[in-house]
Amino acid sequence: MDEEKMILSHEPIPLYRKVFHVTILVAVVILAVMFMISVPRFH
Amino acid sequence: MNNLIPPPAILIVGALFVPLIKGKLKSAYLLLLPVLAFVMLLKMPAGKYWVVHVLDYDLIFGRVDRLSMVFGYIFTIISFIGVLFALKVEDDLQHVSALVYAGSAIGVTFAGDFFSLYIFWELMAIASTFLILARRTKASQDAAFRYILVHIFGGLCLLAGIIIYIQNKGTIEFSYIGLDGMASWFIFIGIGLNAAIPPLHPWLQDAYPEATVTGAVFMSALTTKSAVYLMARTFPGTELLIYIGALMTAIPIFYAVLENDIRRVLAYSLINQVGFMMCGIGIGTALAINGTVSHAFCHILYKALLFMSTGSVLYMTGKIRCTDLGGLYKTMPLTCLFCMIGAASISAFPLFSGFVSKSMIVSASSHEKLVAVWLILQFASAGVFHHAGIKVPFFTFFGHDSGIRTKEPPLNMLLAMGIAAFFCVAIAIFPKPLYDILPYPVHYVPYTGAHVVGQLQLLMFGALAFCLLILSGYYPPEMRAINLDTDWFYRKGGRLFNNVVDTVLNRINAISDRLIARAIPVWLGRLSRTPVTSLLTLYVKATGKKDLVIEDLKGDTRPEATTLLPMGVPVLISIVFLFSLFVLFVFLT
Repeated sequence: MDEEKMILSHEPIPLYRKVFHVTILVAVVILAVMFMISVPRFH
Repeated sequence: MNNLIPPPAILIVGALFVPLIKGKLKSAYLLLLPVLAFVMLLKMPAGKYWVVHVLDYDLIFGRVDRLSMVFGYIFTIISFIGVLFALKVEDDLQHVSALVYAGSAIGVTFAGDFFSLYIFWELMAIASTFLILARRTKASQDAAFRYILVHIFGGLCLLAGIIIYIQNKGTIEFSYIGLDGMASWFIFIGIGLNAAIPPLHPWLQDAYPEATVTGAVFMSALTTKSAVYLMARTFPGTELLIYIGALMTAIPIFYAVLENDIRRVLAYSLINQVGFMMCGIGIGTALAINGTVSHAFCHILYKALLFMSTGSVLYMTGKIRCTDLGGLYKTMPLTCLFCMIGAASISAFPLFSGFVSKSMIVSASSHEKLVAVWLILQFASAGVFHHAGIKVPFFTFFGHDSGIRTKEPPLNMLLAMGIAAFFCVAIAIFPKPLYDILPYPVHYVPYTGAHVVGQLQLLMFGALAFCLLILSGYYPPEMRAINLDTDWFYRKGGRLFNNVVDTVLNRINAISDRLIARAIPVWLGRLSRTPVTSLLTLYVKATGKKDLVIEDLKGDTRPEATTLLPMGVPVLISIVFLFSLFVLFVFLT
């Protein structure tokens, strides 16, 4: 009988953590700006 | 209407003859039933017919209008696709259950009164339970048991609501109800349970992945969507549904990301998609209701396609977990293609069916200036792409190479997937035929520049998030475990409750047994035999005066059972006494 794999983990690739954090930061800033511009238009 | 046969009857009665037919004739017969039902649907004009007078009530088996017709069409279409997919299954239990289930769902759709609705509603629950049981594993038996218990609870809520409703209104006919009293709340909960509204939803991700390969296809299409139909019929414009729907779209995303079982991921995405529909019903405008109905139509097709493609993988490999699968695109290219079409459709990619339906609901929320709801729906759109759009095909067909080398499923399965995939693309490219059958006139244009670009932005950033999460190692690992949702309350909490109650009650029982059944009778027996010694012993024990010599008193006690009268003697004396009193009473009066 085949041995069943219990866990499928995703190992980090060097540098991508930094890319991830920078992307999150940029995304948050962009979202904040977009909300400030667009949300008042709803009202 | 004498020349027409009710479509539910075609499927339900027709199902009973399935075990009697063998060989290729059976395949033809199975396919013929939904085709015949569809032909009948095409001939059915709007109105109320097939009315049966029972007791003082009129049971209406044919309430046909634009709303019921859309669901009637899609239920028969998916029945045909499902039957085609299951054609090689040599298990009559599955065929009969699936056809009865489909017939009942169509019966719910055309029921014009509460009695016939309830009959079909319960028949649907029972038939679908057999589709889980038919997998014949311990896990499926347990899941089926939980499934039917939950649905019995929902059915009882519905029944309670129906009885109170009839008591209040004096009629069994129903249309718009609205939340305005106990009856409506019971009915709402009964329907809501089938629609998997939280916290009544865990039966769905518990049961669907345990169903048979073909059973899951029918289940994904019928139970929740018949509930969506009923909600759209009875509770349109109910504000509570907007928030319930928004909740339904967002919460399952987190669970789906954590899930290892591919069909459980799909079950969570099903709740997410029904959330969009609940939102549309809650908003209740013509655009929102059209969006809900069209989304239900498209969703049935692409969700069935996803369940068929992942079911094919399970059928061919016997595995369905992310930890076990991967790299199957090499050996199952067509199945992989169909899965990706389903994934693109559920993600609402332009040129795939979800795009022309889901966007109507999202637009309706922005038209009504529901900012928070609109944002949640956008988040949910990105989330569903993340798990159903990317995770399902990625971990099944791509990702790591699992080493599994198999081949494509049988031709009938590929054909069924091909038809569903064709509908997914055709509806997106030519949405007009679908828009023409919706309950209200449609003035919606899905393919505008802003809409297409906006949706692509959303999806591309969703894809970017997935890639970065995987590459940075932040994506949660897939583990062989069962993630408990609110089913904790009956799977763990219920067991805890049972153990606590069991322990406490058994302890009380043991103490009672020791005290009342043993200690007290023994002591009373001893007291009656040796009254002085017993009382003195008790006195000595109570006061601690050990200087009293009890042994000396033993001579005063009555000898064992020598002077005791038989029990019958005092009884006889009592009877004589009472009889004397009776005689005296009779003669004196």
